Amino acid sequence: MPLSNAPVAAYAASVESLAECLHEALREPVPSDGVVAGHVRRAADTKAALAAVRVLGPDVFAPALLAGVLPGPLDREAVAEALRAFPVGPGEPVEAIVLAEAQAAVIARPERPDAGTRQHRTDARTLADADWVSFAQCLARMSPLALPGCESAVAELARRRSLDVSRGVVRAMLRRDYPTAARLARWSALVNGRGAAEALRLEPVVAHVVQCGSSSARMALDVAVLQRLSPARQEEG
Amino acid sequence: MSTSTLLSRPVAPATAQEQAAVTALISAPEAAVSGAPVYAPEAAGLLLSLVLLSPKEPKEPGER
Repeated sequence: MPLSNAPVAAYAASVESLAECLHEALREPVPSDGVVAGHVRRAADTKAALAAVRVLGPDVFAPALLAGVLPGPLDREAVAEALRAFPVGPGEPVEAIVLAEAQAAVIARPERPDAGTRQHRTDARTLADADWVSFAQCLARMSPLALPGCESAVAELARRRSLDVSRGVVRAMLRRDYPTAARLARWSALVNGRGAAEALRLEPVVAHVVQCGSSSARMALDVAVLQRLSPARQEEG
Repeated sequence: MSTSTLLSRPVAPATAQEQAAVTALISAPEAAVSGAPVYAPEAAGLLLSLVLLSPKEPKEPGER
């Protein structure tokens, strides 16, 4: 089926809008009506707003998960609506399936954000044998999973293949693909904090990406999450 | 259709085209290589003419 540009453009604009709201929520207290729910409620195009929720995956929970709390009920309801409106269909790429499953797992969690993580139906076998370039490319698309309290087989694989994650960061920097560099650096920061064997020094990467690459709200969100995840900040806290 | 407290009207499930749009955004490929500054021989003539046509540097009053 030919893919019309119309929904893609509308959905991409909504992704930017939601990413901006989430970035703001990382700096300010989360509004009482919820970040995601507020985005959906205010949107002129509800379908596009729900599509944005699906595209950003578990990143829609970033303010709550990084604060160590559960997402609010309204935000969880908004994500449930997004999963209902955009269910994962057969033949979808692995990243689309994994991100949707991670969202479903977070909204199904009854208590604490770190209370028992459900094993995702989709395991990481397809990634385990990939060469490092393909592995890094796929991992970059799954960067919304690189959050505390969002355990997955992919995160464990990233920890085991931390050298390949580092290679991916360096490759993206050399290609001047800063959005990809920021996404992969999130994985590096996460696995560095979990005792990865080969740790990449991320401070120069973060500094360079901040100076050169803040081209979109989504990337700004990635960088903000990266800064929260970086070990230097954790030591400060 | 669900009974949602968030939405005033239920949202219909996505069509195949809408679903494909979401998948395209999730699976967006990495950006093309951004080229470093490269030597451009055609620019040499322009740069030379700019150097030649630029005004001379001002001199101190005593040197006149």
